[in-house]
Amino acid sequence: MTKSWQISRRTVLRGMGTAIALPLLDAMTPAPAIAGGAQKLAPVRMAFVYVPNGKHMPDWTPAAVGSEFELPYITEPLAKVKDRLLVLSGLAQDHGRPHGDGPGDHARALSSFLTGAQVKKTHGADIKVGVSVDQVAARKVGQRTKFPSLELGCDRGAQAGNCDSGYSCSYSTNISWRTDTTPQAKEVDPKLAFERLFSNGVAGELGSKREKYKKSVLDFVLEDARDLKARLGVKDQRKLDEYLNSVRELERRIGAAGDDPDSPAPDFPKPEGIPKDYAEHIRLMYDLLALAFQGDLTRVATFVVANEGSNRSYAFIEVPDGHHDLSHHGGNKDKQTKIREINRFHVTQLAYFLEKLQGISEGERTLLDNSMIMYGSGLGDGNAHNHDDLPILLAGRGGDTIRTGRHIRYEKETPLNNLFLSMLDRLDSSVESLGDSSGRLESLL
Amino acid sequence: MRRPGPVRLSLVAMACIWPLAVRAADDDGAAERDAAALATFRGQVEPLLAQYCTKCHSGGEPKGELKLDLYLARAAVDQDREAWEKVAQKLHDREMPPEDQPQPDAAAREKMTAWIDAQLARFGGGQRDPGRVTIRRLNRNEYDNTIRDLVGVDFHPADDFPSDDVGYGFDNIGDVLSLPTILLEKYLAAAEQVAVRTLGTEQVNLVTGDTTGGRIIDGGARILTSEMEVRTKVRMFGSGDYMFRVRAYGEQAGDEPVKMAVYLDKQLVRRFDVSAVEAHPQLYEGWLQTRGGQHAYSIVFENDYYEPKKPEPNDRNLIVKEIELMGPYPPPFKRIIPREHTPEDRMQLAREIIGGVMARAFRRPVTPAEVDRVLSLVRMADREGENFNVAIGLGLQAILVSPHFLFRVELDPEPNNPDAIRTISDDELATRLGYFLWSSMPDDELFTLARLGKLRSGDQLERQARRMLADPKAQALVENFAGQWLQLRNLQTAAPDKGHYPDFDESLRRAMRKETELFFAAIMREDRSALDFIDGDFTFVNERLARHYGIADVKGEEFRKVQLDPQKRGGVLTHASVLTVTSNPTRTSPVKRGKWILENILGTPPPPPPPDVPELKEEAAGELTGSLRERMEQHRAKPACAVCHNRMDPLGFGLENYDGIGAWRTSEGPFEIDPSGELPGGQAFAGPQELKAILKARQDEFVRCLTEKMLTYGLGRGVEYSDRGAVQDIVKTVEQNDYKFSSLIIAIVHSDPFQKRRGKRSEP
Repeated sequence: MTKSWQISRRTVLRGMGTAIALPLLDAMTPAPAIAGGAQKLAPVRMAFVYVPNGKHMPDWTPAAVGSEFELPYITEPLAKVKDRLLVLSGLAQDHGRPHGDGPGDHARALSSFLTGAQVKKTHGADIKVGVSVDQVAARKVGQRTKFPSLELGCDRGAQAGNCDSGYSCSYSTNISWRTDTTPQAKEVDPKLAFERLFSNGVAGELGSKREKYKKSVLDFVLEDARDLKARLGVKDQRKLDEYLNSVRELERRIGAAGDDPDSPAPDFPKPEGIPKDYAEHIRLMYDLLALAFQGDLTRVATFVVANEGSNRSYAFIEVPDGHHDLSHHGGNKDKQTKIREINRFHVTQLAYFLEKLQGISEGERTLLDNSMIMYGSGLGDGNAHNHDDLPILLAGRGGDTIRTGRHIRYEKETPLNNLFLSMLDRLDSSVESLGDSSGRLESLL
Repeated sequence: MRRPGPVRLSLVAMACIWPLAVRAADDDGAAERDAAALATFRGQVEPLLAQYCTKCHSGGEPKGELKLDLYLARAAVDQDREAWEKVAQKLHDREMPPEDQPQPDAAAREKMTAWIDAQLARFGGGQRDPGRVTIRRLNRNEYDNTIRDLVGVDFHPADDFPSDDVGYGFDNIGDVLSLPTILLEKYLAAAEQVAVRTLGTEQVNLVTGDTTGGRIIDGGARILTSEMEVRTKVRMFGSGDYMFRVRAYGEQAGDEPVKMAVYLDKQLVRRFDVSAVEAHPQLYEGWLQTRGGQHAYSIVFENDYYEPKKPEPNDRNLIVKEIELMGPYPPPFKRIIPREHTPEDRMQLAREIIGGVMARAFRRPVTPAEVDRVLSLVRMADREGENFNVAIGLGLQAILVSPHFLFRVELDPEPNNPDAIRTISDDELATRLGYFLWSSMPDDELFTLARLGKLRSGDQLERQARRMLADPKAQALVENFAGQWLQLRNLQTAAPDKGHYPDFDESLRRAMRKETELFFAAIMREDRSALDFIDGDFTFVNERLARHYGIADVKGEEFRKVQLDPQKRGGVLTHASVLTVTSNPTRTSPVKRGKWILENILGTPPPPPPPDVPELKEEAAGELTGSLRERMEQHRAKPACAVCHNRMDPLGFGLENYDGIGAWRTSEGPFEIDPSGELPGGQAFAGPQELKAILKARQDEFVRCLTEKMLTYGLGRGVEYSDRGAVQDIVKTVEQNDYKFSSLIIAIVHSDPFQKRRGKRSEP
């Protein structure tokens, strides 16, 4: 299924009897040939989807390992894309654990999830974690697309109060960390996310004049910020660094857009705001993520479906209790049943997304084939608050570099970050180590 | 005669004492004091440190990289003040020694911290450490309010911004507020919006129909050679301010320049001397006000002159190259552009406007060089042919995206010297006041006092604080401080289950929040006792909320003040808002309610459980049974849980008469509600009223808690160990003033942390 809006934007390469659509920006910066071969391939994309409060693990983990496994109750909705999935068991995110810092598993679960770093326990004075895997990739390949990375969510940050046992709310609402002290705020309103992705400004003379003005304003404030930074104390300088980084990123984007003035208008109705219906909200965010990947507006994304420790009510699937409250089920069967319904609800939305990616063809492959979508939680069982044997799925074939359709069980305490190293390799973003990684994750291919 | 204010006095005093104190170490008195301090240390403090601390904090691999043995050998606090302060803080807060280690008794703790405090106090010229606030980005509320007060448009652009992260319970903490790319994008877009809404960018020339008059010469220009006019019909889009532009020049002759008049519907709008000549035609711009519909627009040449007998030039003519009419422009633009300009004073006016806006936007005087930089953008737009409003608008955009606007900057002469304590400038103080009490920039009165250096003279500061509290803008303190302290904001996402609480709906949700806001506002505006927060015997309800509370005879949407039956309700603890945000969707949570009271009323949050608590495993002995309270008590029987839950749960049980959305109840299902409880230490209560009486009797703790919350909010940083002296003083002042709300605010704005700042310490 090729959307009509892409045609105007894409260079269509003809050769070997196949038309391979390549997004325009790729033409400017050649994508690496991931799996070798002479032919130019569509780029690999990578997303991390987070769901809070752990899972009801008995209904998550398949009984058998290898390719002959049944999807248990929670992951049943993924049946149609089962052959594009890896269920990865046994992975641990050790820095979710206290290591002497006491309670606060929810805050740690989210902010250690993609960083593999120990979270500095603070109400705010000295927030510190580590750089998250998506931002490592954004730094390496982000310059090839309009947006280095995309951060989506469904819950706004906390509005007040304390989120988790002495940890600033930053930690339980942010999964993506550009530096070890700077979280990447997420967009939760599909309307605003849509406008951000697809409004390139005004075409023609007026448009280029506005771009010129915007550029001048940025030049102006860049100088202001540099000058100001020089006169500040070290901690304040860090705040100005955030500002300067953002200015530079926008200047780059304006520069790139200048070469590509015609803006894509996707064949997709502009969302009107945050839908009342949670499922619809989630699906809209998935839709936008799919559109962003399809148009190669970004190759790296995170999506926090609900903030960690969320106490959301799921009355619409007959689970009126608060999610977090329920997750402390204390062995109560009724509560566990409700938990697995919530878990399945979220997987149902994931299935919608994966099937959508699978339905978008890119040459001989599909967008899902060219993607790596990791889905999971930084807690295993919400009652036990354990950070090992995490529920982790990897969907998509990373451009034919991952052999899917299997359940792999890794040795206990295998760092989740090992998976990240392997994913970064496939995105042309290799690093030697990240957080507590101890090597590449075996057996993916 | 004006008497010098107390702060001024201390400033003078400080200037005298400071150098002496620094030199004190050299004189004999200091040597004696050193000797005495050393004796105390060796005799009393060192043995305690050796007994409780050095086991872990010494040797080759000291815990937390704190090598106490090294410090002990020197016994001097001067070189390692940060480390010592941390030691004192950890001891004071009972974070150290760890719970699995031998604990010093209270007297021993006191001995150690008192010695360290005394040593620390000898530095900094005897000045109290005022702390240091990290540069603060405007948060969403502050941004919206500042835009409103700066340019006069109230349209909430920050609704589109990502959430501000929360630290210390508030969303205005400098350290926590970050600036990711997405936010800068939004700032750029918002700045453009502000420029459009205040100055307009309407570029469409409404002059589209037939234009007549004069004689057409090169390039479509019209030459008027006798007293005549260029006319056209224009359709206006609606009532408002329009901008006209005429590009023209004159063929000059005689003893006066060409006179040109702009008319609308035969009414004179404005008259110009057109001294421009052919080589440099000028733009003549101005405003006119009119209604929508068809209008006659004309440019009239008023002073024809032709004396063929005289030597040349002897023929005066007006040449009109272009006529434009644009608009309507948004009404607020006149707040920014105070008058019309002539082609000659265009840039001068631009300089005045930009300089004025910048000084207010940056909340300080600006230098000519700073203004010049913005003006270069205005000139650029001018060169592009933009009209005056648009050119100014581009300058405005740059100002609104500048870090000097987006951040509240307090520049220090020695930013990295922790000993360099300074009193902040009047401008900085005005800004702190503005954002503390209004979540916005200072107004003209504050700015003026600051620029005159009078903000601190006499009782001016107190008068300003009172004036600000009485101003409608102080509603920001209600929404932002109370909204976060009492967690009213969390009501927005609370999701009581329809099945359990069929009564709950959106109008009730709104009413709940409104009640608590009105209650807080009443205490603030009527300057009541802060203790009313605990047990005020009145509240505000509309019909919806009155029905929820079982209060008769309240009709309609309007909120009104009502007296309460103290048996059932009174004070924020019994507000449906607070009771709902501390409940789960399907049930009450005595634990959450108890924790809420400890954190927000008593300021004694449950101590952090010892590290590495064994994870809670599934119950081996089957499910717990009975009422919620009975089940919880079975839980609490476990010693590991009891320590904290003995403090939290009874407080929550005292509020069990209120269900998960705050309605009064005496039973839950088959179980009678038992609202009695006993606090650690043996204080027992029979129900909510007695519980509140106990809390009210602990007014010291409450006032301290409220002070710390308010100070955190007012400063935009967490309250530190080093602030304890300031907090103590504020608490004392409030107690001496019958707990009046205003006394808390006034004491805070006079406190050292609010008045001063120091350089930054090295990184932890």
